[in-house]
Amino acid sequence: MIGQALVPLLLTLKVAGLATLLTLVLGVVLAYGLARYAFWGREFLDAVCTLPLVMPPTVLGYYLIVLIGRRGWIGEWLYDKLGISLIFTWQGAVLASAVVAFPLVFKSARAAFEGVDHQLEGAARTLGASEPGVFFRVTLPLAWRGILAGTMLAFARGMGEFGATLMVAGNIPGRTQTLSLAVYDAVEAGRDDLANFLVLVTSTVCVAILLGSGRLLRPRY
Amino acid sequence: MKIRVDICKRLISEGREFRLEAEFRAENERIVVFGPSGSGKSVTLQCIAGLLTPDAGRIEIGERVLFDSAAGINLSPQARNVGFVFQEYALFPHLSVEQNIGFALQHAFHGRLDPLARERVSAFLAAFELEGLARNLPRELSGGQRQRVALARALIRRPDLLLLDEPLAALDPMLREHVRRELLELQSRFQVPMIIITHDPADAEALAENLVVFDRGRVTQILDLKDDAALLSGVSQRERVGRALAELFPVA
Repeated sequence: MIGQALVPLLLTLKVAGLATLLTLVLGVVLAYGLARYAFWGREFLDAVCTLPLVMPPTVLGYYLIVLIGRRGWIGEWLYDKLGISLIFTWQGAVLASAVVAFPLVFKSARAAFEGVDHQLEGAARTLGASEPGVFFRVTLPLAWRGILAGTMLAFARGMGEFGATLMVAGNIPGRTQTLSLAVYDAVEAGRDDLANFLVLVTSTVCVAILLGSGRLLRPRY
Repeated sequence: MKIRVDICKRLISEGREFRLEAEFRAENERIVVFGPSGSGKSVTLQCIAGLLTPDAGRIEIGERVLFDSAAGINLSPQARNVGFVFQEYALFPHLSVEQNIGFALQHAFHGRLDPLARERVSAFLAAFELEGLARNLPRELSGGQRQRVALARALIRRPDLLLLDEPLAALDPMLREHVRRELLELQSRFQVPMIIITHDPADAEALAENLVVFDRGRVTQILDLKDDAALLSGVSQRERVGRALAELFPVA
Protein backbone atom coordinates (compact mmCIF):
# COMPACT_ATOMS: atom_id res chain seq x y z
CA MET A 1 0.00 0.00 0.00
CA ILE A 2 2.85 2.32 0.84
CA GLY A 3 4.30 1.61 -2.59
CA GLN A 4 0.96 2.43 -4.18
CA ALA A 5 0.95 5.72 -2.29
CA LEU A 6 4.60 6.50 -2.89
CA VAL A 7 4.37 6.84 -6.66
CA PRO A 8 1.59 9.48 -6.64
CA LEU A 9 3.16 11.18 -3.61
CA LEU A 10 6.53 11.64 -5.34
CA LEU A 11 4.83 12.77 -8.54
CA THR A 12 2.73 15.24 -6.56
CA LEU A 13 5.78 16.68 -4.81
CA LYS A 14 7.57 17.02 -8.15
CA VAL A 15 4.60 18.65 -9.87
CA ALA A 16 3.73 20.97 -6.98
CA GLY A 17 7.40 21.87 -6.42
CA LEU A 18 8.07 22.82 -10.04
CA ALA A 19 4.74 24.62 -10.32
CA THR A 20 5.60 26.62 -7.19
CA LEU A 21 9.00 27.55 -8.57
CA LEU A 22 7.37 28.76 -11.78
CA THR A 23 4.74 30.84 -9.96
CA LEU A 24 7.38 32.22 -7.59
CA VAL A 25 9.51 33.68 -10.38
CA LEU A 26 6.59 34.96 -12.47
CA GLY A 27 4.55 36.09 -9.48
CA VAL A 28 7.37 38.11 -7.90
CA VAL A 29 8.29 39.82 -11.16
CA LEU A 30 4.67 40.73 -11.98
CA ALA A 31 3.86 41.75 -8.41
CA TYR A 32 6.89 44.04 -8.23
CA GLY A 33 5.95 45.65 -11.53
CA LEU A 34 2.38 46.24 -10.43
CA ALA A 35 3.38 47.47 -6.99
CA ARG A 36 5.97 49.97 -8.20
CA TYR A 37 4.86 51.25 -11.58
CA ALA A 38 1.59 52.95 -12.35
CA PHE A 39 0.44 52.27 -15.91
CA TRP A 40 -2.77 52.13 -17.87
CA GLY A 41 -4.65 48.89 -17.23
CA ARG A 42 -2.74 48.04 -14.07
CA GLU A 43 -5.78 47.02 -12.05
CA PHE A 44 -7.18 45.07 -15.01
CA LEU A 45 -3.95 43.07 -15.17
CA ASP A 46 -4.22 42.52 -11.41
CA ALA A 47 -7.76 41.19 -11.86
CA VAL A 48 -6.66 38.81 -14.63
CA CYS A 49 -3.80 37.53 -12.47
CA THR A 50 -6.21 36.94 -9.58
CA LEU A 51 -8.89 35.24 -11.69
CA PRO A 52 -7.65 31.64 -11.11
CA LEU A 53 -8.43 32.12 -7.41
CA VAL A 54 -12.16 32.35 -8.06
CA MET A 55 -12.74 30.44 -11.29
CA PRO A 56 -13.66 26.73 -11.29
CA PRO A 57 -10.51 24.69 -11.97
CA THR A 58 -12.32 22.90 -14.78
CA VAL A 59 -12.83 26.21 -16.55
CA LEU A 60 -9.14 26.97 -16.13
CA GLY A 61 -8.32 23.53 -17.47
CA TYR A 62 -10.48 24.22 -20.49
CA TYR A 63 -8.70 27.54 -21.10
CA LEU A 64 -5.40 25.70 -20.91
CA ILE A 65 -6.55 23.11 -23.45
CA VAL A 66 -7.58 25.94 -25.77
CA LEU A 67 -4.12 27.43 -25.36
CA ILE A 68 -1.79 24.43 -25.29
CA GLY A 69 -3.82 21.61 -26.82
CA ARG A 70 -2.54 20.25 -30.15
CA ARG A 71 -4.92 22.56 -31.97
CA GLY A 72 -4.44 25.31 -29.39
CA TRP A 73 -3.01 28.77 -30.06
CA ILE A 74 0.34 28.00 -28.48
CA GLY A 75 0.09 24.21 -28.54
CA GLU A 76 -0.09 24.00 -32.32
CA TRP A 77 3.11 26.02 -32.68
CA LEU A 78 4.83 23.95 -29.97
CA TYR A 79 3.87 20.70 -31.69
CA ASP A 80 4.71 21.78 -35.24
CA LYS A 81 8.01 23.50 -34.49
CA LEU A 82 9.34 21.58 -31.50
CA GLY A 83 7.32 18.37 -31.49
CA ILE A 84 6.19 19.03 -27.93
CA SER A 85 2.74 18.31 -26.63
CA LEU A 86 1.89 19.07 -23.04
CA ILE A 87 -1.51 17.41 -22.95
CA PHE A 88 -1.57 14.19 -20.88
CA THR A 89 1.97 14.72 -19.55
CA TRP A 90 3.24 15.55 -16.08
CA GLN A 91 4.63 18.78 -17.51
CA GLY A 92 1.06 19.69 -18.41
CA ALA A 93 0.12 18.99 -14.79
CA VAL A 94 2.85 21.40 -13.68
CA LEU A 95 1.38 24.09 -15.90
CA ALA A 96 -2.15 23.46 -14.59
CA SER A 97 -0.99 23.59 -10.96
CA ALA A 98 1.04 26.72 -11.64
CA VAL A 99 -1.93 28.58 -13.10
CA VAL A 100 -4.19 27.61 -10.22
CA ALA A 101 -1.60 28.49 -7.55
CA PHE A 102 -0.33 31.68 -9.21
CA PRO A 103 -2.69 34.20 -7.53
CA LEU A 104 -1.54 33.08 -4.08
CA VAL A 105 2.06 34.08 -4.76
CA PHE A 106 1.13 37.12 -6.82
CA LYS A 107 -1.33 38.59 -4.31
CA SER A 108 0.87 38.17 -1.27
CA ALA A 109 3.96 39.41 -3.13
CA ARG A 110 2.17 42.54 -4.29
CA ALA A 111 0.94 43.26 -0.77
CA ALA A 112 4.43 42.60 0.60
CA PHE A 113 6.09 44.96 -1.90
CA GLU A 114 3.49 47.65 -1.29
CA GLY A 115 4.15 47.33 2.43
CA VAL A 116 7.78 48.35 2.00
CA ASP A 117 8.22 52.02 2.89
CA HIS A 118 9.30 54.07 -0.17
CA GLN A 119 11.45 56.19 2.08
CA LEU A 120 13.69 53.22 2.83
CA GLU A 121 14.33 52.78 -0.89
CA GLY A 122 14.97 56.52 -1.20
CA ALA A 123 17.41 56.36 1.71
CA ALA A 124 19.29 53.51 0.03
CA ARG A 125 19.55 55.57 -3.17
CA THR A 126 20.96 58.60 -1.38
CA LEU A 127 23.51 56.21 0.16
CA GLY A 128 24.68 55.26 -3.31
CA ALA A 129 23.01 51.86 -3.76
CA SER A 130 22.37 50.95 -7.41
CA GLU A 131 18.82 50.09 -8.47
CA PRO A 132 19.43 46.29 -8.30
CA GLY A 133 21.18 46.98 -4.98
CA VAL A 134 18.09 48.76 -3.65
CA PHE A 135 15.95 45.80 -4.68
CA PHE A 136 18.15 43.02 -3.32
CA ARG A 137 19.41 44.76 -0.17
CA VAL A 138 16.29 46.63 0.94
CA THR A 139 13.04 45.84 -0.91
CA LEU A 140 13.32 42.05 -1.19
CA PRO A 141 14.64 41.41 2.37
CA LEU A 142 11.71 43.41 3.74
CA ALA A 143 9.15 41.70 1.51
CA TRP A 144 10.42 38.11 1.46
CA ARG A 145 8.48 36.85 4.47
CA GLY A 146 5.19 37.79 2.82
CA ILE A 147 6.36 36.31 -0.47
CA LEU A 148 7.49 33.08 1.19
CA ALA A 149 4.20 32.73 3.06
CA GLY A 150 2.34 33.08 -0.25
CA THR A 151 4.70 30.59 -1.87
CA MET A 152 4.00 28.00 0.79
CA LEU A 153 0.26 28.46 0.28
CA ALA A 154 0.83 28.04 -3.44
CA PHE A 155 2.68 24.77 -2.82
CA ALA A 156 -0.18 23.49 -0.66
CA ARG A 157 -2.69 24.55 -3.30
CA GLY A 158 -0.61 22.87 -5.99
CA MET A 159 -0.53 19.64 -4.01
CA GLY A 160 -4.29 19.56 -3.79
CA GLU A 161 -4.91 20.48 -7.42
CA PHE A 162 -7.53 18.27 -9.06
CA GLY A 163 -9.80 19.80 -11.66
CA ALA A 164 -7.43 21.62 -13.99
CA THR A 165 -4.88 18.79 -13.74
CA LEU A 166 -7.51 16.23 -14.69
CA MET A 167 -8.54 18.27 -17.73
CA VAL A 168 -5.02 18.93 -18.98
CA ALA A 169 -2.98 15.95 -17.86
CA GLY A 170 -5.60 13.29 -17.38
CA ASN A 171 -5.45 10.60 -14.71
CA ILE A 172 -2.80 8.14 -15.86
CA PRO A 173 -1.47 6.04 -12.96
CA GLY A 174 2.31 6.34 -12.66
CA ARG A 175 2.48 9.20 -15.16
CA THR A 176 0.04 11.98 -14.35
CA GLN A 177 -1.89 10.57 -11.40
CA THR A 178 -1.22 12.90 -8.46
CA LEU A 179 -2.37 12.31 -4.86
CA SER A 180 -5.74 13.96 -5.21
CA LEU A 181 -6.48 11.96 -8.35
CA ALA A 182 -5.30 8.76 -6.67
CA VAL A 183 -7.69 9.43 -3.77
CA TYR A 184 -10.55 9.75 -6.25
CA ASP A 185 -9.60 6.47 -7.94
CA ALA A 186 -9.18 4.65 -4.63
CA VAL A 187 -12.62 5.74 -3.43
CA GLU A 188 -14.19 4.84 -6.79
CA ALA A 189 -12.59 1.38 -6.61
CA GLY A 190 -13.83 0.92 -3.01
CA ARG A 191 -10.30 0.69 -1.61
CA ASP A 192 -10.94 2.56 1.62
CA ASP A 193 -7.63 1.63 3.27
CA LEU A 194 -5.60 3.19 0.43
CA ALA A 195 -7.91 6.22 0.32
CA ASN A 196 -7.51 6.74 4.08
CA PHE A 197 -3.77 6.53 3.86
CA LEU A 198 -3.56 8.96 0.92
CA VAL A 199 -5.88 11.41 2.66
CA LEU A 200 -3.78 11.24 5.82
CA VAL A 201 -0.57 11.96 3.90
CA THR A 202 -2.12 14.91 2.04
CA SER A 203 -3.65 16.40 5.17
CA THR A 204 -0.42 16.13 7.16
CA VAL A 205 1.64 17.90 4.53
CA CYS A 206 -0.95 20.66 4.07
CA VAL A 207 -1.37 21.33 7.81
CA ALA A 208 2.42 21.52 8.25
CA ILE A 209 2.65 24.05 5.42
CA LEU A 210 -0.16 26.21 6.79
CA LEU A 211 1.43 26.28 10.26
CA GLY A 212 4.73 27.33 8.71
CA SER A 213 3.25 30.12 6.59
CA GLY A 214 1.26 31.39 9.57
CA ARG A 215 4.50 31.74 11.52
CA LEU A 216 6.10 33.67 8.68
CA LEU A 217 3.25 36.15 8.45
CA ARG A 218 3.56 37.31 12.05
CA PRO A 219 4.90 40.89 12.09
CA ARG A 220 8.56 41.16 12.93
CA TYR A 221 9.75 44.75 12.77
CA MET B 1 29.68 76.41 -0.28
CA LYS B 2 27.46 78.13 -2.79
CA ILE B 3 24.03 76.63 -3.13
CA ARG B 4 21.56 77.72 -5.77
CA VAL B 5 18.08 76.35 -6.08
CA ASP B 6 15.53 77.54 -8.59
CA ILE B 7 12.85 74.97 -9.26
CA CYS B 8 9.19 74.56 -9.88
CA LYS B 9 7.09 71.46 -9.42
CA ARG B 10 3.42 70.73 -9.59
CA LEU B 11 2.11 68.02 -7.30
CA ILE B 12 -1.37 66.58 -7.15
CA SER B 13 -2.39 64.63 -4.11
CA GLU B 14 -5.93 63.68 -3.15
CA GLY B 15 -7.33 65.87 -5.89
CA ARG B 16 -5.62 69.01 -4.63
CA GLU B 17 -2.97 70.78 -6.59
CA PHE B 18 0.16 72.14 -4.99
CA ARG B 19 2.57 74.40 -6.84
CA LEU B 20 6.11 74.79 -5.66
CA GLU B 21 8.13 77.67 -7.04
CA ALA B 22 11.21 77.87 -4.89
CA GLU B 23 14.18 80.06 -5.55
CA PHE B 24 17.02 80.79 -3.18
CA ARG B 25 20.78 81.16 -3.03
CA ALA B 26 22.92 80.71 0.03
CA GLU B 27 26.62 80.75 0.68
CA ASN B 28 26.81 79.78 4.31
CA GLU B 29 27.33 76.43 5.94
CA ARG B 30 24.06 76.17 7.83
CA ILE B 31 20.94 76.99 5.92
CA VAL B 32 17.70 76.75 7.81
CA VAL B 33 14.57 76.34 5.73
CA PHE B 34 11.73 77.60 7.82
CA GLY B 35 8.00 77.65 7.27
CA PRO B 36 4.66 76.13 8.23
CA SER B 37 3.94 72.51 7.31
CA GLY B 38 2.70 72.10 3.76
CA SER B 39 4.70 75.06 2.48
CA GLY B 40 6.92 72.97 0.23
CA LYS B 41 10.05 72.64 2.37
CA SER B 42 10.19 68.88 2.26
CA VAL B 43 9.46 68.66 -1.48
CA THR B 44 12.32 71.10 -2.11
CA LEU B 45 14.70 68.98 -0.05
CA GLN B 46 13.68 65.82 -1.91
CA CYS B 47 14.26 67.61 -5.22
CA ILE B 48 17.79 68.53 -4.10
CA ALA B 49 18.47 64.91 -3.12
CA GLY B 50 17.09 63.64 -6.43
CA LEU B 51 14.26 61.66 -4.84
CA LEU B 52 11.77 63.88 -6.69
CA THR B 53 12.31 65.46 -10.08
CA PRO B 54 11.30 69.10 -10.52
CA ASP B 55 9.24 69.99 -13.58
CA ALA B 56 11.75 72.66 -14.50
CA GLY B 57 14.62 74.66 -13.08
CA ARG B 58 18.16 74.30 -11.87
CA ILE B 59 19.95 73.02 -8.75
CA GLU B 60 23.61 73.73 -8.16
CA ILE B 61 25.87 72.99 -5.22
CA GLY B 62 29.39 74.39 -5.29
CA GLU B 63 30.61 73.95 -8.85
CA ARG B 64 28.37 70.95 -9.52
CA VAL B 65 25.11 71.14 -11.41
CA LEU B 66 22.78 68.46 -10.06
CA PHE B 67 19.76 69.36 -12.12
CA ASP B 68 19.18 71.62 -15.07
CA SER B 69 16.05 71.08 -17.11
CA ALA B 70 17.23 73.44 -19.89
CA ALA B 71 20.49 71.53 -20.35
CA GLY B 72 18.89 68.14 -19.80
CA ILE B 73 20.94 67.39 -16.69
CA ASN B 74 19.39 65.25 -13.98
CA LEU B 75 21.87 63.36 -11.83
CA SER B 76 20.54 60.24 -10.09
CA PRO B 77 20.34 60.39 -6.28
CA GLN B 78 23.23 57.90 -6.21
CA ALA B 79 25.48 60.27 -8.19
CA ARG B 80 24.63 63.46 -6.29
CA ASN B 81 26.57 62.62 -3.13
CA VAL B 82 24.04 64.41 -1.00
CA GLY B 83 23.28 62.94 2.43
CA PHE B 84 19.69 62.80 3.61
CA VAL B 85 18.40 62.44 7.16
CA PHE B 86 14.69 61.68 7.03
CA GLN B 87 12.22 62.97 9.57
CA GLU B 88 11.49 59.50 10.93
CA TYR B 89 15.08 58.55 10.08
CA ALA B 90 14.17 55.72 7.63
CA LEU B 91 16.63 53.29 9.21
CA PHE B 92 16.63 49.87 7.56
CA PRO B 93 14.57 47.83 10.04
CA HIS B 94 16.13 44.51 9.05
CA LEU B 95 19.73 45.66 9.51
CA SER B 96 21.69 46.18 12.70
CA VAL B 97 23.03 49.57 13.76
CA GLU B 98 26.42 48.58 12.40
CA GLN B 99 24.99 47.44 9.06
CA ASN B 100 22.87 50.59 8.78
CA ILE B 101 25.89 52.82 9.31
CA GLY B 102 28.04 50.74 6.96
CA PHE B 103 25.35 50.50 4.26
CA ALA B 104 27.02 52.99 1.90
CA LEU B 105 30.38 51.21 2.21
CA GLN B 106 29.14 47.65 1.81
CA HIS B 107 30.05 45.70 -1.25
CA ALA B 108 27.09 45.85 -3.59
CA PHE B 109 27.16 42.13 -4.40
CA HIS B 110 28.03 40.14 -1.27
CA GLY B 111 27.20 42.92 1.21
CA ARG B 112 30.37 42.57 3.28
CA LEU B 113 32.76 45.28 4.42
CA ASP B 114 36.45 45.32 3.55
CA PRO B 115 38.85 45.85 6.49
CA LEU B 116 39.23 49.57 5.83
CA ALA B 117 35.51 50.13 5.74
CA ARG B 118 35.10 48.04 8.91
CA GLU B 119 37.54 50.32 10.70
CA ARG B 120 35.66 53.37 9.52
CA VAL B 121 32.36 51.96 10.76
CA SER B 122 33.90 51.29 14.19
CA ALA B 123 35.23 54.85 14.30
CA PHE B 124 31.77 56.18 13.50
CA LEU B 125 30.13 53.93 16.10
CA ALA B 126 32.51 55.40 18.66
CA ALA B 127 32.09 59.00 17.51
CA PHE B 128 28.30 58.75 17.75
CA GLU B 129 28.33 56.90 21.10
CA LEU B 130 26.76 53.79 19.63
CA GLU B 131 29.47 51.20 20.36
CA GLY B 132 27.41 49.10 22.75
CA LEU B 133 24.52 49.00 20.27
CA ALA B 134 26.38 47.83 17.14
CA ARG B 135 24.37 44.60 16.85
CA ASN B 136 20.98 45.98 17.90
CA LEU B 137 18.13 46.51 15.48
CA PRO B 138 16.69 50.02 15.01
CA ARG B 139 13.46 49.11 16.81
CA GLU B 140 15.46 48.49 19.98
CA LEU B 141 16.83 52.06 20.08
CA SER B 142 15.54 55.26 21.62
CA GLY B 143 14.62 58.26 19.45
CA GLY B 144 17.91 60.02 20.11
CA GLN B 145 19.94 56.90 19.33
CA ARG B 146 18.03 56.38 16.08
CA GLN B 147 18.82 59.91 15.05
CA ARG B 148 22.52 59.40 15.73
CA VAL B 149 22.46 56.25 13.57
CA ALA B 150 20.77 58.20 10.76
CA LEU B 151 23.37 60.98 10.99
CA ALA B 152 26.28 58.55 11.07
CA ARG B 153 24.86 56.57 8.14
CA ALA B 154 24.55 59.72 6.01
CA LEU B 155 27.92 61.21 6.99
CA ILE B 156 30.04 58.09 6.49
CA ARG B 157 29.86 58.62 2.74
CA ARG B 158 31.48 62.09 3.08
CA PRO B 159 28.58 63.90 1.39
CA ASP B 160 29.08 67.31 -0.22
CA LEU B 161 25.88 68.47 1.43
CA LEU B 162 23.74 67.10 4.24
CA LEU B 163 19.98 67.54 4.12
CA LEU B 164 18.00 67.21 7.34
CA ASP B 165 14.21 67.00 7.18
CA GLU B 166 12.81 68.20 10.54
CA PRO B 167 15.63 66.50 12.47
CA LEU B 168 14.24 67.56 15.82
CA ALA B 169 10.51 67.08 15.35
CA ALA B 170 10.47 63.40 16.33
CA LEU B 171 12.47 64.01 19.50
CA ASP B 172 11.48 64.59 23.08
CA PRO B 173 11.43 68.39 23.75
CA MET B 174 13.91 67.81 26.59
CA LEU B 175 16.38 66.44 24.09
CA ARG B 176 16.10 69.17 21.47
CA GLU B 177 18.44 71.72 23.02
CA HIS B 178 21.07 69.02 23.39
CA VAL B 179 20.67 67.84 19.79
CA ARG B 180 20.91 71.42 18.44
CA ARG B 181 24.32 71.67 20.08
CA GLU B 182 25.26 68.25 18.69
CA LEU B 183 24.35 69.35 15.17
CA LEU B 184 26.54 72.47 15.49
CA GLU B 185 29.39 70.31 16.71
CA LEU B 186 28.95 67.78 13.89
CA GLN B 187 28.93 70.56 11.36
CA SER B 188 32.26 71.93 12.51
CA ARG B 189 33.80 68.47 12.87
CA PHE B 190 32.78 67.16 9.44
CA GLN B 191 32.88 70.52 7.68
CA VAL B 192 29.76 69.58 5.78
CA PRO B 193 27.25 72.22 4.69
CA MET B 194 23.76 71.51 5.95
CA ILE B 195 20.26 72.41 4.91
CA ILE B 196 17.96 71.96 7.88
CA ILE B 197 14.17 72.04 7.66
CA THR B 198 12.22 73.15 10.69
CA HIS B 199 9.02 74.83 11.71
CA ASP B 200 10.30 75.58 15.21
CA PRO B 201 11.62 79.18 15.61
CA ALA B 202 13.95 77.96 18.38
CA ASP B 203 15.78 75.74 15.85
CA ALA B 204 16.10 78.62 13.42
CA GLU B 205 17.51 80.86 16.15
CA ALA B 206 20.06 78.32 17.25
CA LEU B 207 21.21 76.96 13.92
CA ALA B 208 20.70 79.39 11.05
CA GLU B 209 23.44 81.22 9.24
CA ASN B 210 21.08 81.61 6.31
CA LEU B 211 17.39 81.61 6.91
CA VAL B 212 15.14 80.74 3.98
CA VAL B 213 11.47 81.31 4.74
CA PHE B 214 8.85 79.28 2.84
CA ASP B 215 5.18 80.04 2.61
CA ARG B 216 2.62 78.32 0.39
CA GLY B 217 5.15 76.94 -2.05
CA ARG B 218 7.24 80.07 -2.39
CA VAL B 219 10.33 81.50 -0.78
CA THR B 220 9.18 84.72 0.85
CA GLN B 221 12.40 85.84 2.49
CA ILE B 222 16.10 85.02 2.62
CA LEU B 223 18.16 86.32 5.50
CA ASP B 224 21.91 86.26 5.84
CA LEU B 225 22.59 86.22 9.54
CA LYS B 226 26.33 86.01 9.30
CA ASP B 227 27.23 89.41 7.91
CA ASP B 228 29.66 91.44 9.94
CA ALA B 229 27.61 94.58 10.39
CA ALA B 230 25.21 92.78 12.64
CA LEU B 231 27.96 91.23 14.69
CA LEU B 232 29.67 94.61 15.14
CA SER B 233 26.49 96.31 16.22
CA GLY B 234 26.34 93.84 19.07
CA VAL B 235 23.00 92.32 18.16
CA SER B 236 23.04 88.59 18.78
CA GLN B 237 21.95 86.09 16.15
CA ARG B 238 19.16 84.93 18.38
CA GLU B 239 17.73 88.43 18.55
CA ARG B 240 18.03 88.99 14.83
CA VAL B 241 16.22 85.79 13.94
CA GLY B 242 13.64 86.51 16.59
CA ARG B 243 12.97 89.95 15.18
CA ALA B 244 12.89 88.74 11.59
CA LEU B 245 10.39 86.01 12.46
CA ALA B 246 8.25 88.40 14.50
CA GLU B 247 8.05 90.66 11.46
CA LEU B 248 7.08 87.80 9.20
CA PHE B 249 4.50 86.24 11.47
CA PRO B 250 3.15 89.13 13.55
CA VAL B 251 0.35 87.11 15.14
CA ALA B 252 2.64 84.40 16.44
